[in-house]
Amino acid sequence: MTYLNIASNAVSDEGVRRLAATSQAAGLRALALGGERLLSTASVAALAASAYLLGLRRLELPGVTLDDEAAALLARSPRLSRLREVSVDAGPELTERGLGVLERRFGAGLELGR
Amino acid sequence: MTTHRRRWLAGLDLPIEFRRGFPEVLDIPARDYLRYAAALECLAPALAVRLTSFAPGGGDWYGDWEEEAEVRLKLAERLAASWSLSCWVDVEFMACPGTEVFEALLSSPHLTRLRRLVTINNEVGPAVGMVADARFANLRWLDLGGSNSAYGRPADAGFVAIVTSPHLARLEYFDFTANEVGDEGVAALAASPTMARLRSLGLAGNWISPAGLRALSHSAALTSLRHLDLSWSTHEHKPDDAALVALLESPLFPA
Repeated sequence: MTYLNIASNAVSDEGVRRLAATSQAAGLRALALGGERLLSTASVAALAASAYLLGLRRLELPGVTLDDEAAALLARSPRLSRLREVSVDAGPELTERGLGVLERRFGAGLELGR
Repeated sequence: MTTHRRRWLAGLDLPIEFRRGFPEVLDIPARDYLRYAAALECLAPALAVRLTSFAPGGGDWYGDWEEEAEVRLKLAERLAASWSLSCWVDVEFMACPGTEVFEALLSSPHLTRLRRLVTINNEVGPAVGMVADARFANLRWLDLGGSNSAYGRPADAGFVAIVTSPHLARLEYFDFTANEVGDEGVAALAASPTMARLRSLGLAGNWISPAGLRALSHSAALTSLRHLDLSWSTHEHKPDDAALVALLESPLFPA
């Protein structure tokens, strides 16, 4: 499977943690999660640290309100080095600094909702 | 191409896109297609047709609703009777057809070579199931997203008719977004050997619970699936962590 969109369902941080930890996600090139306010920075951390999402090119996290910490996790993850496009929502805790980190990393590949 | 285009089209002022040197894609109201069908056949039969309107005037018409519906239907019936439909391999409904026009056009005995059919937000309802017919055995690409109508949204019955049709075994892309497929329909899909070539499946905005994902996770039939959209379930019990894990551990996600 190269594309999975399971956003706006009842998947929580635990589900994302399990996804990030399974080798069966290794084929994914695009992934969409979130949308029901169930995901936190813990999900972003799990995705950023995953040893199996190395081929991910596009990540959509609708409704996951990023703060500076989550922005840095996404932007600086050495394991998500192939990630080119991200679609995320800016939370109230996302400052200019966090936004700058995302913009420098993803450039035109950044879609930021508010 | 620019130099010869006018001569090729023999003065016909039609929005035709050339591919590989031939006039191939036509954006046109149904009325104009019928008007120019004979001339088009002499040039080169259009293979891909985007029907931009079924209104008798060619564009939008805001006259009497019942009268318009009757004229639209007659137009669709005339179109369905045209031999030139036997050349069509790609049809896209740019204008909303509604149930009656869709049924009339897709009942055409000439429409037998279609490889791609796109009709999004079509107001067709459960009648979309008529695509399961043997005349559509060449379909590779089928987009029936947003088929809500006065007769309701297509649900399991129409969906199951399509995914279990022995005639649709060549389908590679199937989008059924924003309809009303439930777990029963998903289970039928998961078990259908005719969907072995399906590479892309769009079921966003349908009525799917964790049981639907578990059914998918048991599928031994969907061996080509690479692109799966299960977002925005409208079921009160949406797919959850356990259902996602079951899916990830299934043959759909080979290690």
